[in-house]
Amino acid sequence: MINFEDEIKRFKPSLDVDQLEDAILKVDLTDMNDLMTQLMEEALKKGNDPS
Amino acid sequence: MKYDITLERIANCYYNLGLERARLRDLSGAAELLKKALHFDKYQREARNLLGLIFFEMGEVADALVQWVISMNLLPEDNPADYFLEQIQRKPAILRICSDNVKRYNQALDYAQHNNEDLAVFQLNQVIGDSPNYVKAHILLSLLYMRRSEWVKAGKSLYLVLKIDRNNPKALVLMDYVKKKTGRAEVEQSRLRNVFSHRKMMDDDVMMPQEVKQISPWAVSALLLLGVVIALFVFYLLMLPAGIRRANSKNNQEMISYTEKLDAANQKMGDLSAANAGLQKEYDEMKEKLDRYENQNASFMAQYQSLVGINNALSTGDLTQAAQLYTALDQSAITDESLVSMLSSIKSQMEGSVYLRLQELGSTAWNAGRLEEALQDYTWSVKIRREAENLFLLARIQQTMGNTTEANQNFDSVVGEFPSSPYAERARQARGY
Repeated sequence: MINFEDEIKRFKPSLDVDQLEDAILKVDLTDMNDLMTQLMEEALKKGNDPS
Repeated sequence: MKYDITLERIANCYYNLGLERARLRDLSGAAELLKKALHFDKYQREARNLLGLIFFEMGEVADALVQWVISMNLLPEDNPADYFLEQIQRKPAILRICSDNVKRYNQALDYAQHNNEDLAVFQLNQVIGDSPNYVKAHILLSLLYMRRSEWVKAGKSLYLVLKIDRNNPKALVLMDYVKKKTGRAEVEQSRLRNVFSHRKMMDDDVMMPQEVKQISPWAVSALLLLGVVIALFVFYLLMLPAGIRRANSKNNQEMISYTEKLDAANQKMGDLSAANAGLQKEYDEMKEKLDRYENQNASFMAQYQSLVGINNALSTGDLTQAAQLYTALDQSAITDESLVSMLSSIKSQMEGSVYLRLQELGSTAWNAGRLEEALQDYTWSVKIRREAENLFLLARIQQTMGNTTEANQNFDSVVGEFPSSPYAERARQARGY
């Protein structure tokens, strides 16, 4: 059974062309490559850490 | 490091899958796969550009621009995104229309979420009119129709969504619900059952050709006759009454037309009669005025002639004629100013001197023994101006001539009208008091 009220409430407004600049700035461009690099850098830091 | 090559391969794999889905027009599925490809490799140019194209195809212009701009920023060399952006920038009207549509969609969504369904439906229909590929608008509109139990309209909207995005999950769920509500689901299931059933064909399922029968000429004639009879029957039963009704209707129309013309003519005649009555009344009034004027004119002429006659008589010394005309004149009827002044002059003469002159003439005639002439002179003198002396002299000559009754009346008049004059006492004596 579909609850129309809930379904309608789930809709989000579309992105307006006027808000393009903000939207581009807010896009998270982190990919798996970045995450892997970050992980490896952290691992290297830990490896070099004398403590 | 080998992991970057591995990640590129995974990303490429997702891109290929996404491209395959996009070719099958499964835009939602393709978008999900392309997003995954970009999670693994944000520099996967083709995946990002295709994602932008998919957004553009689904009516999300701003999202498409975001992807293309990012694509250009990450990989500016030989990037097809440059072409897409240039195409949109070259036609700013398209961008403006898309922007307006997004604003209207957002407004409609606000209406829908605040129970202004009618406004939302109206707005969404306008949005879809301008952007027929706007998937979100179609789905929202179908939901609003479903809430109003307008299943057919909702089904049409969802059908359009599925034409754009074949496997749109929300549209599929809603379409399933709509089909259940309209009974379409059962029909489709029944068809499927028939298609895939293994039931053997029965004898009843086979169409048997009918045997061709030979018809005799008599039967043909009879059938033709029957056809003619049926045709006549149909004509009289169906067509003739319709024709009669049509003719009656035409006659009625003509009758109405004539009646209207007759009414108009009657009204015109009434107007003319009223105008005629008005003119007749005016004519009568004018005629009455003219008659009055003519009468006044005749009266004026008669009065003028009388006054001129009196003047002529006075100038010739014919006092008797002057007295006759003067006494016959109706002085109260003279109103004209010129005649009034003329009358005034004559009156001063007649009542100032002429009556005395007549009295003298009467005395002269009496002394000469001309009693009749004296009687006339006294009579005219009294008629012009009634004084004690001329009235007494008239009474005396009447007494002398034997007209005792008239003489007594005049004596009484002297006593009654002029009681303080010396002739009153003489009248009493003459009367024998």
